Amino acid sequence: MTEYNIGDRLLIDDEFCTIRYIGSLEVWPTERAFGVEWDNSSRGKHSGTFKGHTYFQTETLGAGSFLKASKVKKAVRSSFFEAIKNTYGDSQDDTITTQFSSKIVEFVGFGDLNERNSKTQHLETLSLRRKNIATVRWLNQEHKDPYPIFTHLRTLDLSYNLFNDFGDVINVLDSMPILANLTLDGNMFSFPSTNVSPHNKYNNIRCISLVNCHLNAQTLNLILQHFPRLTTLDISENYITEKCLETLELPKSLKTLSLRSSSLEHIPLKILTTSIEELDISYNNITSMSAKDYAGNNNLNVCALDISHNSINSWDVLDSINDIFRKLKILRVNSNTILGDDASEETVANGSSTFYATMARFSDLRVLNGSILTAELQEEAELFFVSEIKKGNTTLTVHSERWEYYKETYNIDQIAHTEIRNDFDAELGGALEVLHLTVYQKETDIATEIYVQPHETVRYMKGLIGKQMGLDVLSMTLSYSPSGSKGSIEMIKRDFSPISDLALECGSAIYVTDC
Amino acid sequence: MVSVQIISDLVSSTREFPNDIALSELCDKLYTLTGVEPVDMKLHLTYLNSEVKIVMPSRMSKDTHILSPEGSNKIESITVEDTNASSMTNQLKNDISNGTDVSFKLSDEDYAARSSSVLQWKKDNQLGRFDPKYQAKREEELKAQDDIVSELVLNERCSVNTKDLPERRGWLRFLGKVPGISAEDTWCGVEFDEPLGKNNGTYGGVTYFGPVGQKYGAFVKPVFVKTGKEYTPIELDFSDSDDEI
Amino acid sequence: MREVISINVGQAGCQIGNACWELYTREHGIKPDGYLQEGLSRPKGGEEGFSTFFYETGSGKYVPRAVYVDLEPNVIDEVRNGAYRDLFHPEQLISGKEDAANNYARGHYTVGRELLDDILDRIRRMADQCDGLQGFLFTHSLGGGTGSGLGSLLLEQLSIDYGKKSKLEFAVYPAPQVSTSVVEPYNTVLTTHTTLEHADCTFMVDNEAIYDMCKRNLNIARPSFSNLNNMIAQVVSSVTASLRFDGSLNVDLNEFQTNLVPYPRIHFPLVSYAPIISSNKAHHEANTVSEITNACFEPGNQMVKCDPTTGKYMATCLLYRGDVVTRDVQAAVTQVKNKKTVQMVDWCPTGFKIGICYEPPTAIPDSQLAQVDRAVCMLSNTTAIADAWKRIDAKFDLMYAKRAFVHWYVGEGMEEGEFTEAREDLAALERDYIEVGSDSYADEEF
Repeated sequence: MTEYNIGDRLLIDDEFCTIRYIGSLEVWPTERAFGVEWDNSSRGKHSGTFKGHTYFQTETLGAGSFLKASKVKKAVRSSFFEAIKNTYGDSQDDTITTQFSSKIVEFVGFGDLNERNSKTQHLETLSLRRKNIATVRWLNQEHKDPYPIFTHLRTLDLSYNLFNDFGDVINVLDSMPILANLTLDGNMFSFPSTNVSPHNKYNNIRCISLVNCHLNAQTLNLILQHFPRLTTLDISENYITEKCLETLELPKSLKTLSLRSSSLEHIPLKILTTSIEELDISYNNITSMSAKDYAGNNNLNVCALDISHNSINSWDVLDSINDIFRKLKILRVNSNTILGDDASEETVANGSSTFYATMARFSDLRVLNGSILTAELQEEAELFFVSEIKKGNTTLTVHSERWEYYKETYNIDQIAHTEIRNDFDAELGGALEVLHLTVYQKETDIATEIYVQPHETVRYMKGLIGKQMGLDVLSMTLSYSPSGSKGSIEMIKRDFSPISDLALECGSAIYVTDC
Repeated sequence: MVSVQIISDLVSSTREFPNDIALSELCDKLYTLTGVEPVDMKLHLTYLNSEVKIVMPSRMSKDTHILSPEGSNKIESITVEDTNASSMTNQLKNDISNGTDVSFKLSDEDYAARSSSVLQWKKDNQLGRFDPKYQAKREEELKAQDDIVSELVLNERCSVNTKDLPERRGWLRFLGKVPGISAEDTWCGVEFDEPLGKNNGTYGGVTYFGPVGQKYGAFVKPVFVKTGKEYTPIELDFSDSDDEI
Repeated sequence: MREVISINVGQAGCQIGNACWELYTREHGIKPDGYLQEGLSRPKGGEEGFSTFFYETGSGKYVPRAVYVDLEPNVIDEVRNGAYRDLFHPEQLISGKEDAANNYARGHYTVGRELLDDILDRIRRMADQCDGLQGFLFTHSLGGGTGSGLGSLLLEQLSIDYGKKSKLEFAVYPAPQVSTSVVEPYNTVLTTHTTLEHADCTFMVDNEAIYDMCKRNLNIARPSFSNLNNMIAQVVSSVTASLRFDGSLNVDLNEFQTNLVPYPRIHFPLVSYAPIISSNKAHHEANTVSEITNACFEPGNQMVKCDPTTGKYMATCLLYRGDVVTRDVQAAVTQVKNKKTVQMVDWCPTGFKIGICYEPPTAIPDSQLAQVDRAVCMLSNTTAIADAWKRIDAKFDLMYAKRAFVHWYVGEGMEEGEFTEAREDLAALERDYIEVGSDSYADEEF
């Protein structure tokens, strides 16, 4: 593989980088220069500017450097099939013997293993993590064989390779008729595929892991359209922000969704379809539910929720989790502000009461923070919780499911409680503001009215307008007259900024143009 | 059933008891568990909300049910205190804290006299030092070792060439016996220039040199070690450094 | 056919048994009621494999070749009423009415002996169903009354009744820091002495080590007994995998002895397992052959707390499960050689062996253990495990010097001489380990 293109990925001295520039540098008159951006930005030396001239611009400041072609050429890039052959096919080298003291290490049955592995097309699992795979095409000109068919392959791990085009991955899936699990962590799919028809569907694939792939919602949607029967999806550690989630189109069949480390601030109720049973939103900045999504979402089937390592600071949030997730059986809430203690720091003395108090707030848990619970334990927790409530040591959200339960079961007339306001002000951290806007379409003189909240995105507002006026979200432009600007009209440009960035007030007018 | 943690000076264990267990029966169970006699017991009942209640079983009715929940407050643990200073558990506790050595010693003769032992097996099958060839080989090795050791200079630069690894260099910091490894051999304690060793100069809890950085130290058989000023640190190949700016 | 009968004795033994059978049934595709999962025509693992641990009834139901025994009814009642109640035949579940009160003598001589004939009878009926019984797999604790007393009584009796059939044990060893009963050291020393000549291979598990793994590796703030037992089951499953599935090493019970035990008394291999990673952060860990192999030499992955770097190895078996390639294993072993301190006893007939079983491990859903493509279990006969005996012997001595609580045992008809005899035997065992570790050519580097 000798051709290099902008966007190609390389692994150099155990660090991943992306080619951003290919050309010449005055200081290296005899060699081509490659400008690269390192995944690990501290590995970089500048941002693409050298001696006052900007050759390229890194996405992350200071993550770039220039490499001589000779150094780039030393970096191995291999193809999918080469990697399989090198990993599984050529294990006949039994010449290595290892000795501990006088004892030679005896490999029992590895001849059979080699033979089994050499029939790569019959393997059920292929693990090709960190094998420098840049493409699935044949790289060697002598090989022009058709793709072999992997008739038994069920699990394929391609994590931390050098892919940058998802189309490349798609191409190889045609040769894997029963593949069910696909791991693609650590590949940077920054370029949406252009050479694959969106109509290619892979119904056999059930589980995909795309952790740390630099994905945004748009790229992810392009990927997901190929996998309509997906049941498990891990898209942790990507650029999937809360706003992006609104445009995310998850497969209807999805049962397990992981969104660790995604800077979420709310429990993303809106994207939860009724099929989702397991949700991992640990390592985010969640303090509460998104209030607007709270109502009407009462047929959720989530039975396992991991919301550990977040910023929940009120017991009310736990009470509403119990109310919303009625089928919850397995919960992780450790390492949240309200619980304070990390697993390792939890002392038995105060840890017990927090643990019991947490357990008692839930109707029917089987596992809490990894501990398997027994019915006796739960009964004890309830008794303890009631005594705490009676003493006023803790509070329970009034009219929550658990509040009703304790009132009825333990005949408690006076439960110390916090009143939760029906409009969920508490969760928004201020007065709930709803903007009532009038939308005019210039061409047709049709007007409509919408209600939005300031923290929602322009894109969300466009969606509403599109629905009401029958317009395409992608082809509409919006403009408005900022309050206090005496009638001057401004275009609304940034789709993913919150509405609160705009100088809108109740009754303001929005003008929509369909282009 | 109620699950309670039982704590005494000698015991810590989580056990299940029927809620309605009579005090006398509970005390009997605690006795077999902790060794504290019921007449000497002072029970500290710790409830989940950190409240503590003290119960002296000797002064209470045998039929009291102390485990049944009181005002819906659940018992988390029972600490069994032994109020009798000369009781067996208190004596044991003192022995433990005083580090009293009462350990049973098996004499060499008694061990040698046992019919099934590793020693007997080695003798019967001429294994280890009971193998005539072993002794001869061992003496030869130790003699060769002495010859090499006499040529080594302590605290001098050194080069280490073991079988499966490329040459490593460093300082010879120690030369002598390391009983934790083997009684008779002489060992070279080497501080490597790079973290390519196995320890920090400590073996089996004894520090023979340093301590140096973790993985910078190792004990190497003399046959693989040479000393001399010429073994300067191996220059890493930095020729690549100008191909990146 | 090479059938193996599992015998779970006492509270700990029965609870670990439960976790193991839950895992085994999942691994072989059998539902909690004993029937096959939808879509399967035969259990997974091949006829030869699964039939070592299960037998098939006329109605297409699969029943574990297992017996549960406890002197008090609570734990076995939980089996009788639990989710797996239909898996077992009522005959397989034997419980008495009176507990052993943490007393070896009650388990061994008085209360336990009353149940003995009944238990042996049920085991006999189980054995009669086998074409070629190869041996027994015991699960019990060393510190509890039933586990130590009745457990050793059964091992003795099986030696008489079944001659040279192999007997392997998984034994819960008392945690180093805390005792679960004041006479735990007595029970441990007494049962070890009694079983020393009857058990062929004993794998010890220390609850404290398991507890630490659950907290540290699985991020379980308050590990419950179920959590601990699930972890133990995963390890037991790894050790028995090659008996139940196609494997290359330790495919027969007696191979464990051949590969691991140079001399019958030295039969306590240390077990290590990797990876121990939590299901909620599985993707952060690479879980390569090199990493899991290295992890086996880390104290955090050992089932008993001791320091193998200062001991010597008589035998080491690395048992891989799932997707591995030879080259990776070779590289990993070379890496271990260069980076770890592994000193083999060169005059010992046993050595360093590596085996493979193609079936990857299965995770019990609530166990928090991640579902992984590969795992490795290391069984190593190291002199370092003598530390475990030293600890318990020292505790025994402190008490026995004062004859503390000895009357509890004498009161059950035991003779005091059994204490001294047992203690001498364990002193000899400590000496055996020293003798094994001496006169070896040392390695080139430490």
